[in-house]
Amino acid sequence: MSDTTATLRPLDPADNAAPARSSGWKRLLRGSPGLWLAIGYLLLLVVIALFGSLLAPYDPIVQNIPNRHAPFSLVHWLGTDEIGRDVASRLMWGARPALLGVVICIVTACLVGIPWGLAAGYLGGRIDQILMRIVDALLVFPGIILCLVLTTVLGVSLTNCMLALGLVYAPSLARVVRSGVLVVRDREFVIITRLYGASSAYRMWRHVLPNAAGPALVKITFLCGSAMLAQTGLSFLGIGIQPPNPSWGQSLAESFRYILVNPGAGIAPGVVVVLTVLSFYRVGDALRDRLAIEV
Amino acid sequence: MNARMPMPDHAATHAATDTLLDVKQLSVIYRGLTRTPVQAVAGVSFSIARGSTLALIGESGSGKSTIARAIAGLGPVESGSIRLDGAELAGKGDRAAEAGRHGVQIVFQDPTSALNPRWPVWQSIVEPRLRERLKRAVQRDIAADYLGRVGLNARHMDRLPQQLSGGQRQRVTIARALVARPKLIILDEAVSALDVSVRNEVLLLLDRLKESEQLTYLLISHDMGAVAQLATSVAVLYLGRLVELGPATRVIGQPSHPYSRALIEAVPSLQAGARKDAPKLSGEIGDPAHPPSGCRFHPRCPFAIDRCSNEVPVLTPHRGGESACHRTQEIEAVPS
Repeated sequence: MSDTTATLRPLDPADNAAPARSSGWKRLLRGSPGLWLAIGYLLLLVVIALFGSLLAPYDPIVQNIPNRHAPFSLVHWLGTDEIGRDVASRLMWGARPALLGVVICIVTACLVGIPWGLAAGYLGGRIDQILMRIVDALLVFPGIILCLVLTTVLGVSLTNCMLALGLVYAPSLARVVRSGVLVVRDREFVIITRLYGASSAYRMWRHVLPNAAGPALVKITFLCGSAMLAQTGLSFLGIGIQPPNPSWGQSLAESFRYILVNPGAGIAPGVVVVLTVLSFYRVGDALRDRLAIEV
Repeated sequence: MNARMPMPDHAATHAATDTLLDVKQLSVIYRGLTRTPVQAVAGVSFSIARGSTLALIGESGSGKSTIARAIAGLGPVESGSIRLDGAELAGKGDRAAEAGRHGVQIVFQDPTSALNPRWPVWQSIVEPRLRERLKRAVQRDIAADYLGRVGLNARHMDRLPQQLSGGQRQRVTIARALVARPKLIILDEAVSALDVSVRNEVLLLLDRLKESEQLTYLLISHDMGAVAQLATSVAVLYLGRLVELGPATRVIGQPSHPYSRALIEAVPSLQAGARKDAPKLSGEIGDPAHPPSGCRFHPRCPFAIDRCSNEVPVLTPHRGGESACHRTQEIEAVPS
């Protein structure tokens, strides 16, 4: 480097700052066994969703009425339900539609909500006003009612039900994306690129979206938990997966009637659902903490 | 009215012919959907000679940053002309791209929000040359070169902004401005957010770069220390109007407009026994949506007379500069 710069010594002490970028993630994981448990549990669910049909010890649909309401045992780990079906096997088979439902719901919410929020936040002005008033209008509807109506119109099935739920979640995601975009849009590092002759597409993709994605990611993780809960609720109400196919919500609904006779058959799916939802929320919390550190 | 900006005496003859930036009758009006239009800048004219530094000073709300953004094409222009080396920048179309293409760059106050937090330093530095689609290795070489010019080195290249100190970050944004090979750099409160010791280093760096990179500065600041250190001339703004213009030493040393006097005397002095009876600037800067009639400063001016609220004062030559005050001569007699 030139002579003039040799005399200019950087005097700031941050020279020795660790350049490692992943240190934040490691620190976050090291300090929290709860987060490890949550991630491990969700991974386990994914494995069961993929291979549950092979791992399950019994056929989830075959009835065995003489052996109904069996308690927890080595033969039937989580007992049997009111018509003698193996509860553990039904839970394992139920993992696939449960996670698939969440995926359908979240993908729908993202496909609709992210462009919606991007357009509102980045284009601003009138377009923003109109798009956000629609969001407001949709948000004042109770989500589950909207979902019931949409499912009735579209026809009762898991896919339709979760599509509808995705549409219900889209406005709230759009809102988060929009506010993320608004925070970044007018930051100097974005507007200064106009002096370099950069297009607004360049600004959007290279600067705004990556920096606005954090809150959206957190929101999506929380939506996963909510989708799981809502899906169980809808199956409980009889919308969603239809009997005799196994689903967690339906298992809950059926065993609910025999809760005093055989609490195990009801508690097991309940615990599974609660753990799943809590795990999603725990991961969402961690993401939020991590992203708050970074930005 | 052509050569509005008086040059320091020794450069007067040369500079009169070598104007880099010429701003004429610049007006900026902010219009909202619901609120009343606000005239943030009203008919401001000034010019900057190549190689010199003009400081725009004034309180918050005086329109300094609005002018900076108008010149860089980042803010609206209602009317007037902005010419850089003869090229008109206040035209239609993508004014920011035009400004950048003709050699205007800007350094903002807060280097933290001026750098993408996810980009390593080298990537930010070479961004002005994004349209050339250079190879990564070439980009990194350029970044290393410019890091050197601003007193950092290649070691800092792969750092993220949050791994640098405030002073280092500001050096990075200065390097990025240099990469664009600018003629004019607008320093929009560029050192105001820095610690005092770091601030001085950056001011020294800017001073040095002005020579080595043949730069001209428009310094937007409320920091009289920075102004005294860098500026060759000073323009004082009040509520969107220029009230005084002149060589830096004269305006800071012996301000003639009542507002300039109050503004410069409001700077706390470190000297023990500094005057305590100086006329303090009372009240708030007015509302630009409803500016006072006549001289916009009259409601706060200790020298105001009836004429001040009726008649708009124009800039008239005064002691090597210009001052917009009806009572310039009379006030002259009052010790400041």
